[in-house]
Amino acid sequence: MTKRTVLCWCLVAAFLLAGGPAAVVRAQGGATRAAVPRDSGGPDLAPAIEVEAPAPDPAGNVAASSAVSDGGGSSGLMAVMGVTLIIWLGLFLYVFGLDRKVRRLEGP
Amino acid sequence: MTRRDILLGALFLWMAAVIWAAFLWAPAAAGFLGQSSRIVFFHVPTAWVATLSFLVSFIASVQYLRTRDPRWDVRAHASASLGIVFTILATVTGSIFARIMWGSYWNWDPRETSITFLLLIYAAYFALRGAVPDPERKAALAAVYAILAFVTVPFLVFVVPRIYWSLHPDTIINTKGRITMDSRMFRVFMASLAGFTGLAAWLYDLECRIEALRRKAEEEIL
Repeated sequence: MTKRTVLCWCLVAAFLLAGGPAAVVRAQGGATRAAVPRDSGGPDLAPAIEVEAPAPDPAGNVAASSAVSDGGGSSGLMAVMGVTLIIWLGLFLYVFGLDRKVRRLEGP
Repeated sequence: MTRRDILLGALFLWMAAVIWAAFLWAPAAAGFLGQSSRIVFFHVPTAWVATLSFLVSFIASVQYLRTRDPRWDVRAHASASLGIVFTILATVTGSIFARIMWGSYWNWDPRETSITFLLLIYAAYFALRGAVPDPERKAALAAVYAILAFVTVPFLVFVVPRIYWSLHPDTIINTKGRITMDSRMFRVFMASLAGFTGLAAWLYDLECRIEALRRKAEEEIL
């Protein structure tokens, strides 16, 4: 594995890990150990992914809809999304540049 | 501008749209702390890409043993590398979720334990490749090992976590064979799955081409 490939993987990792802080947003206060059981046993709580927000705004107001779903943490989500997008842009440009160089080396 | 450039531009826009939708368009799911459910848009696609890469590695290894064409060895190696990297990423994103939902990064949950076994099995593949100097022997041994390693994948990824009681949330298609995900979440999830598959295909192609160039350069030197 070359140095460039390692750097490329680091960028992929950074891109994915940037999604992590979103999970931390608004999850700090009163975070108790939540059991999410399966059908095979344990207490029957809430394993399935179901929407908690009300029906979407008919006008398609994204900010309002996400504010409902995260209980007011939309500015935090915006920040995390911004960071993720910047990392994705960096990763894409880097790999695209690498792709171009490989094409040049391969010749016509 | 070539057709390839257009496809890559489309991939860029697609993933940017997925990121936007994952954070701002899809609602948070019930039964999860804070925004932790949004990690599903990154965690599951990485696990999917890892499984797919191991499958490609298995097929390429079978093809290498059938044809003895070194290009299949390159493909098997590239896809196994991709698989292990995405497995690590799935583990890390899963650990972040575990910290929020279960209070600690690592709980030895059946899902965490099985993915550790999978990582160790595929780490041995690279150790094996590094230990054999002769290229042909290395390729043959690695191909046999990759086939044996892939036999464990369905058990470790799909069977073991479903047999034992686990804290891990239900899979997208649950044990009753139903998808209970909200429709907007499901659309973003599927788009993310497609985007990550496209990204993995691009990285796989690039890895194979770089390896082919490296081998060509080595042959020219010798």
